[in-house]
Formats: sequence, C-alpha cells, structure tokens
Amino acid sequence: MKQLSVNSGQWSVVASSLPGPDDITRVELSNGITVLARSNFNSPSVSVSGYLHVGGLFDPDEKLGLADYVSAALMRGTEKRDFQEIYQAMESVGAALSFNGATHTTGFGGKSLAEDLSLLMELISEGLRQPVFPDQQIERLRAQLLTGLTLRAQDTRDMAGMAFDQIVYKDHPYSRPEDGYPETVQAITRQDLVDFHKKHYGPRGLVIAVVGGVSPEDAVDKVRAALGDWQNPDQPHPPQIPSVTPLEELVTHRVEIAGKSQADIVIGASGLARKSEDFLPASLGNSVFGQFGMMGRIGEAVREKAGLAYYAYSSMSAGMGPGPWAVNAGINPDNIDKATELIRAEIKRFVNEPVEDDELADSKANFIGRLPLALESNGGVAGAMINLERYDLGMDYYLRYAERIEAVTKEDVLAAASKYLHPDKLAVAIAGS
Amino acid sequence: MLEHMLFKGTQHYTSQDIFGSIEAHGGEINAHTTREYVSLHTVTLADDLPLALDMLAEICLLPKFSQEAFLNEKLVVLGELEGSRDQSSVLYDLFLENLWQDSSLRNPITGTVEGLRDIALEDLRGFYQQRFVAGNSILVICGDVQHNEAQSLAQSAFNQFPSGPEQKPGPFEEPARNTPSGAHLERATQRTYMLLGVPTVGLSHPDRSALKIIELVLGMGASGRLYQRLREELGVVYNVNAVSSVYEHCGYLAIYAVCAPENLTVVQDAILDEWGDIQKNGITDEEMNAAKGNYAGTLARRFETNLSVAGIFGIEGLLYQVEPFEQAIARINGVRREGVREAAQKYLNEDSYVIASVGKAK
Repeated sequence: MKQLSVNSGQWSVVASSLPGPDDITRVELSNGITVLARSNFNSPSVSVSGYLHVGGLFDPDEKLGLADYVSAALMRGTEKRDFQEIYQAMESVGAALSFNGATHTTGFGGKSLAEDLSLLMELISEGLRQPVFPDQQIERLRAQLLTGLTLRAQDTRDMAGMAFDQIVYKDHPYSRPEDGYPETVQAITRQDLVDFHKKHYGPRGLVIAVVGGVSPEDAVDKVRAALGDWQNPDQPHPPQIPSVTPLEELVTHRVEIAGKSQADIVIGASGLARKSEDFLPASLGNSVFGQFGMMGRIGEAVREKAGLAYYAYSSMSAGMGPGPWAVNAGINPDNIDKATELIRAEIKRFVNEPVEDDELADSKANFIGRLPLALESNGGVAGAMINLERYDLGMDYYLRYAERIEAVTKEDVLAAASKYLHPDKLAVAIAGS
Repeated sequence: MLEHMLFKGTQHYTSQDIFGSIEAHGGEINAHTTREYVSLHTVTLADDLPLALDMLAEICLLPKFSQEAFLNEKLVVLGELEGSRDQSSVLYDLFLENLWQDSSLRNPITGTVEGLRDIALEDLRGFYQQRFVAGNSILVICGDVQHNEAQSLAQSAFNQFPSGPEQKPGPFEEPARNTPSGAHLERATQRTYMLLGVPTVGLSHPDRSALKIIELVLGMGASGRLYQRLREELGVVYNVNAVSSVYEHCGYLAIYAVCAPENLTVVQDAILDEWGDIQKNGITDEEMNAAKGNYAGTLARRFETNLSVAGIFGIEGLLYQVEPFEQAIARINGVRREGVREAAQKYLNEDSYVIASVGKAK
C-alpha cells in the first residue's frame, strides 16, 4: 500500500481556515451566559448550538427521566405560542430546532436562513424560559416516551448498552438511563415538570454558539436580546459526580429478549473524561483498535477474518466524566462465546503490545485530515466551538491540533490502553435470545 | 451485490487499502445503491483530489471480483435478507412492489433470497461490464478546485474508462388502476407501519413542483395538515409525514404513518379526506407561503456541504439536468394555488391509490 499522510504544507493551508482566537468572538453576558460567534458569509444559513447544566443527574431515583421529559416538553407550548404555532413559525421558513436531555446537560441545536436568526433565537428563548407544559401535550408526550421505552426493551443493542452501564457504573449515577424506566416516567406529574424547570433552568453556565452568514456583533446582539435579561437566582450548581470503582474481575450479564435472531454484545470498561491528559493517546489507540478502515483490528479479526459478527467496532465516549470504552458487536447467538474470546484476545494484545508504527501513522493522518472536513458545515463549527468552551480546551486548540496529534507516541497509546482496559477485568453485556 | 463487490479489492489494492488510503488523509469513501443508479463518493481535502480520483477510478475500472470474496459477500447479504430487517425498509419494498405493476422499480434494491442465490459471479461481471461505461456515468467534483484542474485530473484518472453508451431506462406505461390496491405483511409488532400513496411524475414533468407543494402542505413536519389532524386532533398516530420520490420518468407521493393496529382504518380515512379537501378547496395562501418558505430554507441548508451539493447535481445530471439553487427556488415559487388544486385532482386519485402495511392487521 502507498504510504500516505497529511503533509505540513497542506496543514498550514488547512489551519488558516480552522476556528481560532482570531475569528471566534467570545462574550460573557452579565447573567452568566457565554456567547461564541463566528461568521461564514459563504453560507446563507446559520447554525445555533448550545447547552445548559441541567441533566439527568438531578433526577430523583423514583422519577428518573424527569430532566429528559422536561427538555422534550419545551417546544410543546410556551407563554407566547402553542404547539402548532411554534412549528408553523419554524417550518414555514425551513428552520429546525430541537432540545435534548442528557446526563449532565440539556442541549439545543437549530438551523435557519441567516435572515431568520431572530426568529430562531426567539424560539430558543421561549422554549428555555417560558414553557407552559400544557396538560394535553404533556400526556401525549408521556405516551410517546413510554412507547420509546417499550421499543427500547425489545432492542438488543439498547439493552446490551444498558446492561453494560449497570455493570461498569454500579452504584454510580452513570448506571441510570437518562430516559428513565416506564414506572418512573409514569410517576412524573405535570407539577414535577413545572417545578424542575423553575428550579434548574437558568442562564448561569449556559453556552451558545452561533455560526453562519451573520456578523459576530449581530449574533451576540441577537443572543443578548433573547436571553440577556434571563435571571434565576435559585439555579443550583451542577452536582459533583463520585469516582467510578474499577472492575476487579470479568463480570458477565445476559439480558434475555425472546424472538431475536441477532444478539448484541458490549465488552469493555470505564474509560476516561474528555479533559483527561490521556484523551488524544486513547482516541488514537481506539482508532487503531476498532475504528480505522474497516473498523480497525476488531473489525478485521471478528468480522472480516472470523466472520463472527454482522458488525464489530470499538467506541470510546469521553465526556464530562469517564465514559465507556468498549467493543460493540452484533452476532449470531451461536457465536457469542467465540466472539467474546476473540475480542478479549484483541484487548489483551492492545494493552500488552505497542501499536505498529504504520497503524499509528494512519490514524494520526486520519485525525488530522478529517478535522477540516468535520468543520465544513456551520453546524460542525458550532459543535466544535461548544467543545472548546465545555472542556476548556483553549481557543487555539484546533490550530494546534495537528501538532498535538503528531506528538503522541505509541508508548503513550500503550500507556492509555493499559490504564483503562484489562482483559480479565471487563464487563460483558449480552442481549438477545 | 455489485456495489459491495466494488469495495472487495481491485487489481492493485485490497479492501483495507481502499478504505485506508482515503481515511489516512482524514477522508471518507462510500457508496449507495438506489433503484436507478449506483453512487460512489469520496470526501477529502482539496489537495487530495488526485488521490480520491485515482481510488474511485481504480474501484470503477479495475475491480477484482474474486470468487472467494463473492461467495463471502453473498453469505453476508443473504444473512441480512434472512435476518431482521427494520419495519420501514420492509414496508417501502412492499409498497413499491404493489405501486408499480410492470416496471423494474417494483424490485427491492437488496434483491431477494431466491434471486441472490441464483446470481453467479459471471452474471455480476457481465452486468458490471455493460453498465460501468463512460457514457452511462457522471462525475461531479465540488469544492475548492478550479474547473480546468478538476477536468484534467478526472481525464487522467478515468482515461481507461470504456466508452460505452448511455443506458437510461426508457419511459414506460403502467396499466391504469381503477380500484385501490392493498398489501399487508403480518408481523408481531406493537405498532403498524403504513404507506398510502399514488404514482406521480418524473423529473422533467411540469407538475413536479405543484406536487412538492402538496407534499409539504400535507406532511411538513409537525405543522403539516396530517400531523395536526392525526396526531394533535385525533391522537391516532405515533408518527406521520409525507414522502416522495422523483425518478427519471415517474415518481410517487405517499403518506407514511405509524399507528396502533386498531387505528389503521381511521388513519386511512383521514388521509383520503385531506386529499379530497385539497382536490375540492385547494390550499390557503398561508399554506402556500409556508410550503414555499420551507422549501427554500431546507434547500439552502442542503447546499451547505460539498458532498450534498455533489449528490444533488449528480443525480439531476445523471437522470435529467442540473438545476442550480436559484432555479429550483424560482420553479417552486412559480406554483399557483390553482395549479396545486389541479395537480391534486389529477394525481390524488381515491380510486387508484396503493396502501401497504406491516405489523399486526388489527
């Protein structure tokens, strides 16, 4: 195979187009909101992305799913518009907006023509500040959420993932699904939604990024007009999360779901947080292990050579806290044991032997080369700017990205892999018939 | 099968090389197959255009088609066909099989278990040699590159491409329908998935624009007529929207709904009632403006990335003619309310629709 890589001359041209301190405007509003803005006048549209520190971590055990329910209800009616009026206003200009609840935060994302940015900001503001949780809409939404949970119970991939979280994050908030359980969603009342919103939603810590065919000044003005006077003096601080207790042995859990021709399996352990020093070595290692090309070593060993899986790859999810680092595979139920052993053997090799020079070089070039492609769209840039703020990466992070990637050695990768993964201390979660 | 086999190695590269060479530059290479064409694409930095073109040319011109890879891939695809396909893809296949009576558009893209078992490697090779020729292909390059340079690189990469003829399927006449047609596939699911639709027109037909307005008025997200009626007023669907496909010589407009089995008839009646209302009363100015606004905003966002633009122009160029953004907006803005009503009367025919459903009958 030809030796290929992104050369330094190419990178210097690319870097000039990446978001950095010279073209990102960052403004903190007096109520604690951080606004990030970047122009792209090649585009007639604008993307808005943001988050606030309200998530499933605040849910009481008996009402698990509450934060998720509230976020899903924000566009069901506000003090100014009912459900139909919200969607008419948005869809009649081809705009899109959604809110979604997660463990630590509630996120929002919208797109519109640049000329409709004021409308988009109005809708975001109304959703965040003035939801009215109409009875009828709330009950319809509950029915939808419950249907989703019923479908989840029949989904082998979802159930394997949940079983995995319950092993790896035993007695930790991350073991709880943020969309709750049928009985906890049933237990949530409209007043719970109202109270939760009133207490937890507020401007402090909210981050919003605006990217597209609008000047930074105009973007900041529009955010300030929509959210600048928002106050919630009672807004609580995000809770501290406890540390995760590492597994001391191989722990297997099977979820029986009748009538399934495919089983899903998740094998791995708790990984790292995004702010960890190990993040880039671990990410590059994960690429070699189960992402690059036809899903890295895992895809090659489990699917291509052994033919044991419909799909097989590794994933490493690093967020505010330590996310899972795991291999995911869809397999014929008859092959579960064989596939498990093969995956464990690959993990053993991954944590005991350095990756090959070629493997690391390919993944490095992939990471460096794909960055500008990921930042081609306004939405991609907005998401990247949000990450700068959320994980305190520094405004020059993307400009220095290639340099940071190039600095990672195969010894760094091995150290990260062996720190988080051990072939005899893994969670093995299986769902299927 | 052909699309899969193109990525299973070429004369100079293994399958891993194909993906690895592009991904080692941060790029992406992939393909998809529709009822009318196979599309291959790469996304790379502008400086890597020569590499991308070389790799695409290698895949298109020099596939290996080894017997071993063919048999392995056949087993994988057969496994997928015999395994658990999601309800929506099963539904679409059932709907199109019944919508088209004679056209090959009625055949599923993934094929059938029986058909796949019968395919020999020589069949696949023959099909490839007939179809993968310059006259039957289009190459779209979109991004930070000058036309002359792109053309030169493309000529260099594809200069060995056989110069065969264009092989578009010709126009076809479907037998007229005088009664609605239905098909149901029983599955042990809690929800029933339904498509109710009619044949419409192809890319070059003037009624295409009015039909797009009808599609948006009926199924434009949560503000569309059907969402408001079926979900908000009647509460009988989990999901509903309007969908359409426009092929070279024909197309369809359909309503997709997911509901409890016992609500299927109510949903069907409500859809036909809305069709009848548009035939009789047309749409309001407010609905027209909202549909046009939605079309413009959505299309503008689709023009945001090079891959999306290349896809739009590639399909249009292959099947009809490239339509720039402004021209598409002007075409839709030219639709009048009376045109919408006439199109509804012409196509939303309550005597000849097709309904397909997957799930429990009741």
